[in-house]
Amino acid sequence: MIDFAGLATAAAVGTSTRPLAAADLPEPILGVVQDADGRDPAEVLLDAAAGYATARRARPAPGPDLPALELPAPSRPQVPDAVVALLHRIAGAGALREPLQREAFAALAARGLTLPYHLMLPLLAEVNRPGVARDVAGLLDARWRAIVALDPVWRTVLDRGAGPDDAADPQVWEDGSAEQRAAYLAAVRRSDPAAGRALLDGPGFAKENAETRELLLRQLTHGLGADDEPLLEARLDDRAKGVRELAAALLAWLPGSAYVARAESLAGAHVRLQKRLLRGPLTVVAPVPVTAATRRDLYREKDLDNQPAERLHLFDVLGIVPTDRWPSLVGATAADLATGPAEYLDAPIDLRPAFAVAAMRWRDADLAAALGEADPSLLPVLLPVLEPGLRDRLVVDALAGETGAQLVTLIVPQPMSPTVAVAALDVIGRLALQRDQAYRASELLTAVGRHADPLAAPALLDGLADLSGRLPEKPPVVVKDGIRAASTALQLRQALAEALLAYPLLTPEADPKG
Amino acid sequence: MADPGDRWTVRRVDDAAPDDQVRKAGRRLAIPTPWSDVGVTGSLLFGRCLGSGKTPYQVSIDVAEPRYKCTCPSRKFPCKHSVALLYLWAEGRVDETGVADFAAEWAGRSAERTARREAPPAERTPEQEQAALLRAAERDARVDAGLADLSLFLRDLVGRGLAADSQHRPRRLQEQAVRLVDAQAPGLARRLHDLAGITDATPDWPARLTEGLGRVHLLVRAWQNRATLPDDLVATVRAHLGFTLRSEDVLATPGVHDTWVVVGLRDADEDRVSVRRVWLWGRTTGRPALVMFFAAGGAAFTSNLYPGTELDATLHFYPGRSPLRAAVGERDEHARAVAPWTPPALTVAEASGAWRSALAGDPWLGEWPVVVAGCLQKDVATGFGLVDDAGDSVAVVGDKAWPALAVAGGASCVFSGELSADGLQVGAAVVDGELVVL
Repeated sequence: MIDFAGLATAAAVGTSTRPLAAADLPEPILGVVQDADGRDPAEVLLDAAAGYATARRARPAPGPDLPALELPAPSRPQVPDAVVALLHRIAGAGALREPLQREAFAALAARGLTLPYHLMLPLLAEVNRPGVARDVAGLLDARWRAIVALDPVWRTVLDRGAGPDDAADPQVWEDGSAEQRAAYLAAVRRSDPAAGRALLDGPGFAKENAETRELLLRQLTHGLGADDEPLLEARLDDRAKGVRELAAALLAWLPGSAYVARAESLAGAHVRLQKRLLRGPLTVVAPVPVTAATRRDLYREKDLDNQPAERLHLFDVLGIVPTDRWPSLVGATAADLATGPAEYLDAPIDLRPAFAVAAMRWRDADLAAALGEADPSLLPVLLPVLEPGLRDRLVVDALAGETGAQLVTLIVPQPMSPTVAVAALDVIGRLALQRDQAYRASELLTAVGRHADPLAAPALLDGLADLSGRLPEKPPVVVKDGIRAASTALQLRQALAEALLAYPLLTPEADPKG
Repeated sequence: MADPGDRWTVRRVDDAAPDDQVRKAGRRLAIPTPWSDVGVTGSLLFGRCLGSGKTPYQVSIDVAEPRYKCTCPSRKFPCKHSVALLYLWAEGRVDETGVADFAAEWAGRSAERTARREAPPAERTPEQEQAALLRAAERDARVDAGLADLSLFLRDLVGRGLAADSQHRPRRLQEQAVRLVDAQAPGLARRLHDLAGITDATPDWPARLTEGLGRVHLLVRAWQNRATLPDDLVATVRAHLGFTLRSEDVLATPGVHDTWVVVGLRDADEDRVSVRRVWLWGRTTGRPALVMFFAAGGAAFTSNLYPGTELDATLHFYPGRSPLRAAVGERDEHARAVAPWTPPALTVAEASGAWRSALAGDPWLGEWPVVVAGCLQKDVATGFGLVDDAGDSVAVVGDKAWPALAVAGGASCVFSGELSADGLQVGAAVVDGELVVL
């Protein structure tokens, strides 16, 4: 009996080599072979192939031998139509696409929204593009997470980025990915720091790989307290440098820790106040020698400027000592020490950068204000500590000064307040009219377009239109394109902000699922 | 006044753009800044778009047809300005206003052209009839000769063996395809062209090639024996060989009136022609239909049927076994969004039965539209499937399986799509009475 496989073999070999015996065909196929006797065997084979082809095609291919899928119901609302339209426009916004998408997806994730399939599936198709997995992870609801888990490539989203539901599921601590476990640990720490610490206290923690240990340890920032000190102190001896550095950084946030006490001790020994006749006191600082103890505490020994390790150690000490301890240590406030004259190895030294780190670490708004007034170049470090009104005033003043243009690019990682954005636009207006400053103007235009508060969009758009009208007849292309791109970005970001007004930001307390 | 329900979706605008470049450029232009005199009146959408020159381009679009007019010099059709205006409209950012002068003028000229085009064709004279018959007989003779040559080629190919000299086999099949084009059998030429794509590197190539050659052979035999076949089967054979019918002849046959739901759309490039297949489903008759549109040279389709809409129309089916292809006769001026719809869905076994019946009538049939209910399956290695309550399953193929899963989840759902030997290619899902085009 010749089945279809046998027929295909006969066709491949050729009927002149292997003649087909019609009698060997099964009855239904033989029925379609006309007058087999005496005919060209090739024609008989083609007749049989026609019969088999029709018979084979009559039965559609079956599905996999599996039960039907059971997927959870959608657990998040989809974005409104207005946002869908905006996301389409952002997708077509050329170079603006990536940053605006990232901002939009973060805003949607923060509001507990998810995407419709016709937006989500193209995103998943790009999941190997840098950053996409993280963006997508924040938008997945229970239904999408189940779907994503079905595809071996998409599944990497679950590995690379934790979803909001992970925070509520204890099982992920046992069998989840590192990101999922970190999300769970963070949630536990927020509600019960001791319980979270207990999760890391077991012997299993040391067996994790360095990357995972670092990721998990980082979650101690949630609810960090004095009780965490023993655990962190032990991690100063971890075999991975990244973990040791993280443990040191966290210990440096604990004002009562032995780590900070060691820094205070070094400060007491290497910083002193020298009273001077008819002049204000002089801060005299000395090199802090490199020892086994400072190495264990992860003090810096080198930097890009090749400064001596002893000097770097000194700056690290100044950055760690709590700012309110200086009066008892040397008899002067941190602000006085930071802004007054100082000497290191008989030469003047500027201690402000070190105290800026301390102001940031200990949230010392007064010290930050004093430093910001004295040195605008420190503003990028001090911005998070400054009171908003003062911050905006200092930034606007700085923008008006000579260093303003450089400063804008440094402060853009922060959302740019309307006041600052308008001041930045003034800087742009000055630079755009100078041909040799065209690229800097374009850089600032990009920054304003992407980071200015959408509330400022109407004023900024007017300003950009005005600037466009004031440009010379043949303006540099980068400026012209920069104005157009900034206008588009502002319009889209304003529209997105308006479309999301009705959707409040979720907080962990408001949404137990994250 | 335009019904907001008739407003296009952003996805429809995406589909209307001739290529990705125009789509992206259109999206970039879909901001208020360069636009003036923008408005919509009935189905007439219009606006002026300031480009690089001093004079704004005048854009007019009849969204019902659709027809486009832009004064820009672009050779893309529709151009980026038209696409941008459609995006603005789709996003609800175009208000109902009085019609602009340039748009009214274009609409008037356009209506005149339509009236001229739709005027009934002049009756053929007896001499013209005679000449047409003569041309038809000559074509039949050319097809006779071409298929006789093909028959010899097939016998030779199978006699010597498909594996013999196999590196030259695709070229030889391609040459036969070219000869069949010369012999005015383009439909058969296309089948051979497809078979030429099967190389020794193609998995399971002997079986696939044997099956394909068997179908070609069957078509050759059917043509050669056409004198003994019933008329409807001969019509089917002629259609598969590539004989075309004048649409006015099809429209002269009795039609089927119904509310036709547009359930799917698929574009493909065949030779130098782009083909758009639009699948419809009759609400009352429960009958499927296929309307085809053609576009050559990169031009846009003049399709006015879009998935997710429905229209009252009379369809005239092309003659043949398992009639499916149809021409649209009298119809509503505007299609509308599909009203709630609960089509009677088949089980997998019933759908397979429908496919078998259709295949029995037309053994060369590519696929058959079905509306079938079931739950989706997914296997990492073998892909998707649809299983019904009775446990019967069918493979789900094509690029719409993931969207189908996203829409249906794990629940039983009604899907419309095309069933073939490869499985079900889903095109839309019906969820709670709403047609969701995938």
